[in-house]
Amino acid sequence: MTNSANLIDVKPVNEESYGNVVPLLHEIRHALTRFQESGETTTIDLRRIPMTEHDENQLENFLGVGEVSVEINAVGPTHVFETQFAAVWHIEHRNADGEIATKFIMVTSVPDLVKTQPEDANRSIRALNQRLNKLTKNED
Amino acid sequence: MAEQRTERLVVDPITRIEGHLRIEAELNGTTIENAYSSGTSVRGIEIILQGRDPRDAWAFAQRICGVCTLVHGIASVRAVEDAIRTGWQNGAELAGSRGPGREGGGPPQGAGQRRPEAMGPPPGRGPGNRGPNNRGPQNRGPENREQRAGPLSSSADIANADQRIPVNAELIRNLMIGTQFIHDHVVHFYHLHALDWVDVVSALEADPQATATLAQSISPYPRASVGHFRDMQARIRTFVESGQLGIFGHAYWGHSGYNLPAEANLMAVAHYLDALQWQREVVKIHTIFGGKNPHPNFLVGGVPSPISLNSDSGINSLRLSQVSNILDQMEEFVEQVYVPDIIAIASFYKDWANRGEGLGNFLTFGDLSNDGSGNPASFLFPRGAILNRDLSTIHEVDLEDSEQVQEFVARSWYDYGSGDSAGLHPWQGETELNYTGPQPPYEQLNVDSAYSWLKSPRWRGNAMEVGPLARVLMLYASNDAYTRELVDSSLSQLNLPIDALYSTLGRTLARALETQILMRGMRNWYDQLLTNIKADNTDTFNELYFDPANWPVDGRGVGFMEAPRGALAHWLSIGNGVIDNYQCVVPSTWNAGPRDANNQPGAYEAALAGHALADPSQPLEILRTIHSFDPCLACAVHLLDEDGSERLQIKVR
Amino acid sequence: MKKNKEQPSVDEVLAQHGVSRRGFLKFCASIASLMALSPDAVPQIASALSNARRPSVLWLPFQECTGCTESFLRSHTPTVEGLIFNSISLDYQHTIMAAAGDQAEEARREAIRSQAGEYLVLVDGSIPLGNAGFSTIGGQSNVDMLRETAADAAAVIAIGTCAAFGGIPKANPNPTGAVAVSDIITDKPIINISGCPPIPVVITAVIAYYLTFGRLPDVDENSRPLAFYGNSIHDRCYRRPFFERRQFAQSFDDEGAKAGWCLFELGCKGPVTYNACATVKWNEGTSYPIEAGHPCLGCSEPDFWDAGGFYQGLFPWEFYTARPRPGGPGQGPR
Repeated sequence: MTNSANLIDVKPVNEESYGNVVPLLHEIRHALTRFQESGETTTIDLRRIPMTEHDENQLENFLGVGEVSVEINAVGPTHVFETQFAAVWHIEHRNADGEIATKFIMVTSVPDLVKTQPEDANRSIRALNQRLNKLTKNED
Repeated sequence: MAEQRTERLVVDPITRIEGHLRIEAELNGTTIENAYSSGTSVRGIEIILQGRDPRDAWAFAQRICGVCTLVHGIASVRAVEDAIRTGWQNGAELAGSRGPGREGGGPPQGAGQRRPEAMGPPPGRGPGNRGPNNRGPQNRGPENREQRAGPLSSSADIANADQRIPVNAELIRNLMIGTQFIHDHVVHFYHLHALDWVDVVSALEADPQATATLAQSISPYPRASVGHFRDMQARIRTFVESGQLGIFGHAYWGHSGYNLPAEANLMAVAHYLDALQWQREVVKIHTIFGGKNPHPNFLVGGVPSPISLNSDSGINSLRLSQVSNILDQMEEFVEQVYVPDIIAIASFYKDWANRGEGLGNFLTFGDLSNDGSGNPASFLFPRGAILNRDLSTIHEVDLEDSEQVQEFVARSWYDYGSGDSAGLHPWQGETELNYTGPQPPYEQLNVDSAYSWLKSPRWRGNAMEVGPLARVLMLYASNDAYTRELVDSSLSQLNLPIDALYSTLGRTLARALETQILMRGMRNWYDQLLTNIKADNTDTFNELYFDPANWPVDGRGVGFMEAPRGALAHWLSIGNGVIDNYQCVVPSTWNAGPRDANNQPGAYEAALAGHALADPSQPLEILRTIHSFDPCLACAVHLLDEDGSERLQIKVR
Repeated sequence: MKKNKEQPSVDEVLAQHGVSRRGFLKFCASIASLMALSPDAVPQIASALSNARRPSVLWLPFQECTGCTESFLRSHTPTVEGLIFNSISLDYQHTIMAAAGDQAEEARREAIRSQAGEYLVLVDGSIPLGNAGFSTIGGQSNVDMLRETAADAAAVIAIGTCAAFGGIPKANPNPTGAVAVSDIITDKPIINISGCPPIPVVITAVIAYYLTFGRLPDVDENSRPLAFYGNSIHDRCYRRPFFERRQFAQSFDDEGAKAGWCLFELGCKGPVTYNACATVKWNEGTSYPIEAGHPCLGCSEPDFWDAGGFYQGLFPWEFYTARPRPGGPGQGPR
């Protein structure tokens, strides 16, 4: 019904950069070194670093995509993947409506969010017990 | 004479409205004999506008209300544009014609500030002072703007210039107005009105399967699975069992007046939450064209957002497709959730089709040119007046005629120099504040004298209702085919006669039906905008309006529109480049105003008379009817003029 | 905030709603980011929320237009109906509460009684001092209601420029004698979330911060949270490079305007306005006034209504060009 498909594609005219991509990559490099030496985890909040769309694209192209990708569905989707640089992970949180809430870079072996939390495991034990009981009762 | 037992019932605050409203009702037994509607808060924005730059007026006026955000901004820019254009058409002396050396005339430096020093940035911040060159926008610029003229100083120039607001600006304004309507009506039903009809606690007894069956039977809306309703019910249960009921606390759950089965209650609560999510999305049309919501930005002479397909700023193809997606979301919710819910809920409350409308008189100013031309013949909503429910006669309305629109202050906290029983056309208006109500804290108002901050507008001496019911009736009486189809088919589904419209239920239904009418308008305006852009017509601003040199030295204008709650107009006069006088008559004043000098009640007051209350300590019936009007009291309160004089000039297109 | 054993903590409420621990941690990470806290704060946030109960929140509306309530309803992170809706007990809020009249006032008074010292008061609108009859609720003047309700509050949040600074009712000539919340309440912690209205998520983020830490976040000299008001629009605006290069739109809809050039000469007050519009933006990051072509009105600043016309430019350019700042962000003169 609409004619928008016929309109001209838009390319950004403004390729300005805040110049923060290279310093950020250096920070990642230092974090990787610390991780390798002592196992220390570093988290970088991408929202706190001024970047244009051009900068963000440059960063994401540089880091690329590696071997592991994890989709989490907790209070909305979260997309986690290891970049082509091992131990450098990219985390993108979206809220329950699917809008982007936050983005982080984590330098670690596996981001905590991917691992199962003890509280959730406890809840699972209780739930599993309950369901097994029901199942057994039904068979009587 | 038999002694009557009258009790006075007071409901203050009326909640789930905009603003501060108090209802006092005299009961005979448990039936309302007389009701009194009082606006209890005043700010004075019209006074604050005096002396300001007319180009700034829309921003002030818009803050009259943040629920019906936009409407006062639109009325304001239209009023200023009307004053300017009327000056041109009448050959008035223009500011720029007053000799050389006065660059463009217009507001002197510091216009709008009554205090000698300008307010700079807070201490410790910034340089502290504005520069001395308090220049406004200049008419210089790249040479490729030959098509736009500079300041016009002579009648000959004016006659040759393009005096129109660009059609794209009109279309964008229409899209924003329509967005406001549709957002406002849906939010009003679910978040302000619905709790009068929907018993939240009863939803806990619903069977989720039966709820899913019900939901799927009335609409193809996808969020209707058993699992969805089960989850919803679990959420409500947790909330209720926590004991902290928050906004659902201390309410009227279990009142005998709630008629919906538990499944309908559960479905409605689910839709309440869906609507909260939906409303965040659809306002983005305001954000795209106006920068933010609430309170998007407007502009005298056009709209501020340029159309620019090859730029990352402005309205480009990305923005246009965002708008199109939002229109789809709007339409889906209106057609699949809002309207089906209204019909479904109405079917359980047909006894509310015979109460809640007491005047029988309806008024519209008309608005929403279908082709962006501004020509009243092209309005989506026609102008007119209906009296005594007689749909065979539409009376003509002329805002300039001193015998038509008048305001009374007999029961308002104002004085007229010529006596408080007079009804004055706003053109001859006077307003002097006189608070004669009880000093707070107080228990009751003195309803035999003045009892409200609202005035009583009247049309030819008649109290009038404005709003969705007035518009739908005006369209119906004008034989608009689509309106007739919507009204006839919904009344037929409910097995109700045409007279059912004159009621609380009818008003609520009319609000939903006009949302569908507006949806059609939205598609139409969007398509026209695209057509214009494809034809390389991308103008959104006529800078002739913006240059003070082109303004009449003395000018007056009126800007009118149909706001979600009804007919709205702003009148202003400009003198030497600043606002002399500013006057608003707004929809909720028509509806919520107190009695006039002839003791005729206003629309709310007339609507409540005769209501039987099942339990006077739980005012559910009062809330149902008052909410059906969608009150907006910040708009309604007439604003005081300490100078005691108001010179209002009304010019009508 | 001490934990009341009968009231579930925030994370227990979330668990009851089917939110896993993982989801809870994600929520904490979002809060930390939103409040400009280091990601290292996430465990602290999680721990604090695990022990926090749902405080009672009372929203008082005075000389307002309801735009701030509408903005609150637009918040998407946290959503009103989502986590925060379940993490506070909003016991008094005229626009959306079910009860009216006596029942509404009873809700307010009961919360004051039973949660003394612990409830949060939110205010929108200014308060008129010219005459008690200028603005009343339930027959009670606004100033009396404010004093009565704030007396046992833990803290007060003034939402919007009217409550924070007096706003439009206070604009010249201030016909009703309108004043800000902080002109009346002087013995409680107050935070100002200014803006006309404030950005939706800023309102809910500050409430979330209070919920998490039991105190109000760090503020500037106008008592506004530094996380959102620490930088000027000018310092974060995507059109800043055009300002520096002196490429200005000189009229609406001219070639500069279409190209997205700086709106300084059209009256933009970005250089003297502190708010998060240029970073957080409006309505889920969709846009903001400058991006949509209109100069910044300066609506989060005190007395901006009287600070000169909206289309009168701030001059000269030299005052606002980039130069070194002593003291770092949010500190000291600029």
